[in-house]
Amino acid sequence: MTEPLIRLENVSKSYGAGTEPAVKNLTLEVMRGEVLVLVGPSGCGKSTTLRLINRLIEPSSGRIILNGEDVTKGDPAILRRKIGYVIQQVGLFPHRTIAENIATVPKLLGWDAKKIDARIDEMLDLVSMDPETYRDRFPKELSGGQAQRVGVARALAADPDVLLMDEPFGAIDPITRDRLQNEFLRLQQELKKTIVFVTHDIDEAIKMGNRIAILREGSEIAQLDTPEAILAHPADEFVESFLGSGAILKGLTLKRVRDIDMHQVPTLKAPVMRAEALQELQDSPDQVALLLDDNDKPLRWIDERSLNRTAQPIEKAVGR
Amino acid sequence: MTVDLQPEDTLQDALTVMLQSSVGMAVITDRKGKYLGCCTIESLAKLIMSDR
Repeated sequence: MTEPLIRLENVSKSYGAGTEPAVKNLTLEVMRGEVLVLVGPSGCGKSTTLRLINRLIEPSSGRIILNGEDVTKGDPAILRRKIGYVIQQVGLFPHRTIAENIATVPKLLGWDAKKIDARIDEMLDLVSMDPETYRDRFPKELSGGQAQRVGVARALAADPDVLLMDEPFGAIDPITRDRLQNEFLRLQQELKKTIVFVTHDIDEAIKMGNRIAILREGSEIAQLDTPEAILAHPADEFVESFLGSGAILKGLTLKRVRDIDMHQVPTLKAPVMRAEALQELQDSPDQVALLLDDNDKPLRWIDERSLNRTAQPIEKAVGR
Repeated sequence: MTVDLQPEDTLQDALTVMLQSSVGMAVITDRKGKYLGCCTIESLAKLIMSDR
């Protein structure tokens, strides 16, 4: 993440004389391979900024440089084929199958049918959806979470360097959203795309971003830094109030389970004799043991109480 | 039954699982569900304190 792939230079967007600009003189760099999150209150101009990058909205002034090229010149339709775009409403074509939806941009780019076919399966696999089950379904046959996965698959189908994501998980229930965020972070570790991600949710910004730009009205940058630095040193009262309370708890979303020193407990392979299990518990400083199956998959916790509750003879096996 | 964590899950996920666990610990498995170790409140606190 050393060189900028996207650079906005003094970009402004106004919708008419006498109105405040939606984006005011914004200069911003997005580094290659990073997830930059734009976060701010409703109406601050974050979605407008995103749409300026793929020219769904034309800037009133300023330059937008993508990979060294000024994209404010040239054909916007060609530009959009090079940039993946995921939105909250997903935007799948309702009368096209999932396969046809994913194939949209590769078809526009003139890929041959065999390559497109293989790519559809690859993309569905990537977002953990079985191609055989899903490729011929229609969007109305999917849950919200599945539709959003297809939205991501479609955005990635033509292998764009840049992905723009506008509140992509905003309309999904909290449990599915959390799962999709985790899946997306796993994907990004593998794909290393350059991503501009818009959200109004600071917790999501902290979790998803390599860097976060906290925006005030007019897309003015209040602070641009890593989540750790923003949580530790908020630039001003606006940022502080936007972060809210509980900075330590918010910081927990920045660290992964792999970062901790794993603790080991005694394990027992099922089925195990109760006598052996009791002996193991007596030797365990935690007074618990973990029952595993033949493949070392956890079955359940065992403690003295749970063993006594079974009221089975000491010779009886546990976990059968 | 245990609710398992994977190495890529966040520590916030870990805290949620631990608070619901009968033994105050969360089991960590690999992507195939194989046991790797456990996450405890102490290991979580140690990591947080190392940043302070």
